[in-house]
Parts: sequence; C-alpha cells; structure tokens
Amino acid sequence: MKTVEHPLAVAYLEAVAREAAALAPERRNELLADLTEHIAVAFAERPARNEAEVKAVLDRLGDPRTIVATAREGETIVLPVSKWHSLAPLILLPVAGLLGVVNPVLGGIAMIAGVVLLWAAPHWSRRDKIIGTVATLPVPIALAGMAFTAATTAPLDPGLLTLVAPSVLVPAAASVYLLRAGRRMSS
Amino acid sequence: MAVPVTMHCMVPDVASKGGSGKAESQLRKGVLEYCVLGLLRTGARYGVELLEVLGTVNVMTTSQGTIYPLLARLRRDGLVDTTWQESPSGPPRRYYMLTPQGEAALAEFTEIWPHFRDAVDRFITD
Repeated sequence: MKTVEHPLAVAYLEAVAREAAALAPERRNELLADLTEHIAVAFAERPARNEAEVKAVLDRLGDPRTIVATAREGETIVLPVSKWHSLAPLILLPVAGLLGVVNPVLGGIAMIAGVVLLWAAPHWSRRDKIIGTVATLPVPIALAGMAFTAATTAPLDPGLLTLVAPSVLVPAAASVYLLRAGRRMSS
Repeated sequence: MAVPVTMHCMVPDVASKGGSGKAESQLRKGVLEYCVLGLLRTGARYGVELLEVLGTVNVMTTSQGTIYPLLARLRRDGLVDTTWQESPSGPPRRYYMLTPQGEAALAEFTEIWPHFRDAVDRFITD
C-alpha cells in the first residue's frame, strides 16, 4: 500500500475504512488499497498540492458511503460466521452416536445441539441443512437402541455395533459434505 | 462506444431517492463494466487513466471511487488481469488488461448491445 500523507486524504481513507467495516476483511483491504493508490497516483500526476486540489481529487472520488455501497452490491452476502460455529455441528453430529455408547442422554444432547447449530448457521443453504439433518437420523435410532439394549444386554453386544456404526459414519460423511458446502458458500 | 454525451455536469447520484437520475444510474450499473472492458480492448490502462477516459462522457461516472469495487469484481471474475508497472512520476501503477475471458464477455456484449439499443428505441419512440 502506498502512503498518502495529506491529512485530508488520510481522513478520507479513514472514513472509507469506517464505512467498509461491514465488508469482508479482504474486500475492505482491497478497496482501501485501490483508493489509496488512486489518490497517490492522482496527486503524482498533478503535483501542485494545495488544499483545494487535494479536495478536488477526493470530491471526484465521491462519498465513502456510495463507494462502500457499490462494493457491497458486488459481494455475495458473507455473514461473519465464527470458526467455532461453522465447525461445532460438524463435530457434534458424528460424535453424538459415539457419546451415546457411553451415555445415551449425553449423546442426545450432542445431537440436538449439533442440529440446532447447523440450522442457526448462515453459511449453509436450506438444502445442505436438510441433508445434514437427514444424515443425523441414524443417531436417535442408535440412541434408542442403546438405551434399550443397555437395560437388557452387555454393553459390548456385537448387535450394538450395527446401530452405532451408521450413527457415526453417516453423519461423518455428511460433515465432510457440509464442510465443503460451507466453504463454497462463503467464498 | 456510442454513448450520448449529455451537456450537464457531474450528475449527483440520486438513484436512492428515485429522482431524475434513477434511470441513468440503473443503466450505468448495467453497462459500466462493459465500457471498462471496452476501454481495455486497445491495451492495458491504470485506474486513474481509465477514470479520465470515462470522465470524458458525463454519464459514466459520478463517484469515481465506485469504479474500484467494479474493477475488483472484474479481477475476481477473471475478466481482467493486473500488473504493476513503475512510472517516471510517482508510485507504480496497477495496469488492468483483458483476459481471454474478458475478451469473450466483451464480444458477447458487443454482439447483444445493438439489438438491445434498437429494441429500447423501438419501444420508447414512435
């Protein structure tokens, strides 16, 4: 980034930065770099720098709000999603089935939390959320099976494995899919 | 590019207020990027240079700064490519040039535009 020193230009760029707070960081930096370069080049091409000329350059650039509004139009809506929020459901859903082996109630809580976070996240489409939720269906089946068999048989019953395996593998596969889908949406 | 040169000065951006500049602002939104691609047809240009040419017709830019989000989008979409070039005066300039994709987009627009213009003329004139 080229340095622009004139206080009016600095104030102008600061105003742009403030308005651009809602943009994704790389878009904001890109816009600021482009405008800084513009000002530096415009100053270099008309070297006599009295205040009126500096003002004229900035006036021609226009209202920071208008510029940022234009930048926002071209932006697919990128809502800030914390890394935690985007990863948590992907971990919780496959883990719910495993947790259920230890304690079906704990497994149930993990599953519900996972589904709630999945639907609350803005960076998956409705279709992706339905896929994620449907893939979670083996979990309550496994949990119910475990709650039932825990009362009657030994905990390491081989029959239990046929319940646990899909309740881990199917959501895990969905998590991989959702991870990719989420990246696609937010890029 | 055949753009009617109007005689008024810098048009304030009144699109949001739905005033007399609304039609102009909406048209500009649709065609500005193709005007930029058209300007790059003959060779690479840098931002300030592009704006100087666009500024020779009053309808194409009101707020010069809005060209930069547009250029950034063209860059991201792969329609233009950029290189930095040193200048004898002042900082290096970022030059924009058409990519083959940009050339294709411009060719498509150039093909459509006369039909579009004629169609609009047909409906709004007797």
